[in-house]
Amino acid sequence: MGALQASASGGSAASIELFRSLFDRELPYVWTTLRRLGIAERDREDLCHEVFFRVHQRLATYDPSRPAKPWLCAFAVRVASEHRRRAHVRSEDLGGEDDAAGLAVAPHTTSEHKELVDRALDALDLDKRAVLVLHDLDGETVPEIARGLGVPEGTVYSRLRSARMEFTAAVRRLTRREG
Amino acid sequence: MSKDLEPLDPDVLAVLGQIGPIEDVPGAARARILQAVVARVAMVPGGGGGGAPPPTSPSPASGSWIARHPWISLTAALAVGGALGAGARGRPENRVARAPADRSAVSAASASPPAASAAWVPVATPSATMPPAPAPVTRQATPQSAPPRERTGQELAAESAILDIARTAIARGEADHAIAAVDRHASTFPQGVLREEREALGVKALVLAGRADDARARAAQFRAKYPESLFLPALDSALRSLP
Repeated sequence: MGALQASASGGSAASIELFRSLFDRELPYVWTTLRRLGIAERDREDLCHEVFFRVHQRLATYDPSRPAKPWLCAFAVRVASEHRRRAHVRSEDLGGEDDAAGLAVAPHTTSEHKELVDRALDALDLDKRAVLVLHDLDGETVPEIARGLGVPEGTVYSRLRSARMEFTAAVRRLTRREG
Repeated sequence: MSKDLEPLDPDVLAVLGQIGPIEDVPGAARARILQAVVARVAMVPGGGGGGAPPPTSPSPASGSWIARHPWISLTAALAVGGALGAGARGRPENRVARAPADRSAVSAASASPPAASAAWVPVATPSATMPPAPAPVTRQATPQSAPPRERTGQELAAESAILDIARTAIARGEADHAIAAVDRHASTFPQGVLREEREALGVKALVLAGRADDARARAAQFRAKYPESLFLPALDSALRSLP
């Protein structure tokens, strides 16, 4: 038996299939989620690797009858959070720019709209940002988000409420200044 | 706990929507990420490297090392061809290697094509019943001209799409829809890569439908076929909810 089985609670070849299916199926989601969590392009491969390494290590906790995305997002949030804390990571990589400067130009093109949404999301802390992404972009339900992130549903509602308010305020601030 | 949530204003919601869809991962990046995971798992005590890491930098190109780690050869065969050696020489933190030589090597060997479009998903007539042992059927949708590796990737995406429907239906408490999706997967991909997951979802769907006898029978079949499955704890938990 190989590594996968040994570390996945003594599983079988099914462990390999399970990990492979998760990897093949959900890598684009993790890849995209890391960007949505504010991870710079150049760091995404490394952090994707870290996420899936941890997924492999915790494969036995995966319930395939439940949506995988909130479960995977929890790994992405933790990895992104640790990445943010590293001293050598420059603040500009973390979306830490001062958004008070507003946008250089009014958002007209796709890339300009993406800049706006990225900078507005940067106004949120990672926990709120994750909930907003999971609920308002991925369409996951609050109970599934709570289960995936390992927090009470009330916490998810609270974070979502704050996230929406802060995101809205950031959008208003950014678009007002450019106008 | 308050569930009173103010919806986003339409214009702000439109801004959020500009973030873009789920992105495809470039084939070379996909291969590098998988290589890095494989190499790192092999180095973790108890993580599959047979305990302690190999005395020297692992040499996955070695036939004997591969022979003792069949999962790596499986992974390499599926995903990175024979390029595993490049991925195992990472730095201590196993940062994903991006040397140009690696890039070309893994690009050539990269196995995972972009996810197949939803349009490829074969359509089968949903059925409200779920036979315990679906009879194999001949699949017609596989493109004759597709190379085997690409075809596998497309099939996996198609399998996954069907099971996603079942999973979502279960999460929403829609047992009939879940059963129909499981049936559809069984008839379309009787020997699919995700058949174990399909069978597990089938049990959960039957539990959700309150079909206790059917659920137990299907679970017993599942247990016999996959005695070491990682899905068993979840199934046992579901079965315990039955009267």
